[in-house]
Amino acid sequence: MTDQDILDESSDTISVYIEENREWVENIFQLVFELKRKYGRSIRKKEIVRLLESEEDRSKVSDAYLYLQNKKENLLDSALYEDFIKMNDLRENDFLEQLLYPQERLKTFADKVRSLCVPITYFSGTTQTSYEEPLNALTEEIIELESIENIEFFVKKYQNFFKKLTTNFIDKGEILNIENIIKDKLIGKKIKKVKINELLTSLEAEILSKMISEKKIHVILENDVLIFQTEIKDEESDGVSSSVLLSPKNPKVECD
Amino acid sequence: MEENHLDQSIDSNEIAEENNFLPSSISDEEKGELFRELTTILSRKWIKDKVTVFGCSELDLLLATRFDVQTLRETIDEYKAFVQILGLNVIDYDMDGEKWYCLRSSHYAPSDLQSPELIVLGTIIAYLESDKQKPITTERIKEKLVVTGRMKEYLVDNSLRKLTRLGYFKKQQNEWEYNYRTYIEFGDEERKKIVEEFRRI
Repeated sequence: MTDQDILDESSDTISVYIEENREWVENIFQLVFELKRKYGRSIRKKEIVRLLESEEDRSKVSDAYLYLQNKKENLLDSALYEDFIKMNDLRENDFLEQLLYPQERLKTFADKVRSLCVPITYFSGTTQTSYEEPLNALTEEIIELESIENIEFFVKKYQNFFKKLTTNFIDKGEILNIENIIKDKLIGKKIKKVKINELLTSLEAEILSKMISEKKIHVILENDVLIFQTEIKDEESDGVSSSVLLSPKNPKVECD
Repeated sequence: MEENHLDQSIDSNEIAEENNFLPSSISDEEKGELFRELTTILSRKWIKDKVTVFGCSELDLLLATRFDVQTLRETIDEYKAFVQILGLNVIDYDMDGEKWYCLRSSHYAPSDLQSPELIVLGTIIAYLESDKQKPITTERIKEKLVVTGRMKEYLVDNSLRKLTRLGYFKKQQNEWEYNYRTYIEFGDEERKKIVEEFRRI
């Protein structure tokens, strides 16, 4: 046997080995591919593969990494292992959930939905303010009731006084309107204390009081005369603050 | 006729002058006042056609401020940055083809729904997300929740009524559909997660 013959023989065995090996690699890859498809589908549909079956599948491909050569094949192998882990999680969760009562499962579901919700923000509260319109002119009169006609006449004459005080509602827009009306009426004017009662309605007087406390209007009192200003000088602000009691007599209600 | 024509021209002049009222020309004090008003308007909850709505439509804002659309949107963009510091977001949503604005917390905030309502809400979301071909009827919801003995029938009915009133769902020819509020409070990912969670019950 020459050297050449030995060489030929060995090359034959190597080529046979490679051929066999290639076949084997293809088989292994096919198996990995099939299992990946099986587990991918099961996880998507949340179908549980039994533990024994899963263990058998895992042992079949446990040595696969030795035969897989290129990057694509390795990636598929690792994806299959990830699916084994996911399937294990799914199986454990399913087992634990079976221990819960249906009501508890529903409660957990409600909690989950609650945690996923990012609600709209709103501030509850009324945008309207209520106020009562007081009676403007209260007078006292003693009458002698002699007959039913007299009583009827009395009731008819003073019908307004038998009504209950009505509660009205006002919103912020209307308050702003009234603030503007008050400014038009009073700003830059000198008005006597007595006269101002005739200028304002009771609602306007209330809002004027609010505006003064919010410092939207400044009032200076000089010998029974009220001076209304929007701005006040520093030297003028040094003084004693006092209150003026208003008893508005203007019966007109400035509401649209 | 001439007088009317004159009046109209004066009106249009006035409107034109007001439209020149751009945000850059608004003083800081006026802007503060405007933002305060916007907070009140956008955070309000009220009822329109028996359904709860939040905030304000763009058309109403345009009428109230007398801005043009561009100016209003610029102002709202500025306002967005302003309220973001407070952990709030300005959200716009579509209702009957109209654009509406409201405020939403950018972090977790408590929902005003009770557990039974959340269960029914989750169930309808899961059904609507998973198979859009099959119609979602009240019977189908009850089949899942009542027939299996998990919930009482009156509780499901109550929850459906409340969810409709609060603007989560609407009923179109006996079928349930999303209303504007579900899209605001549950994003695409959140809805997918609900589908996954629903499989477990």
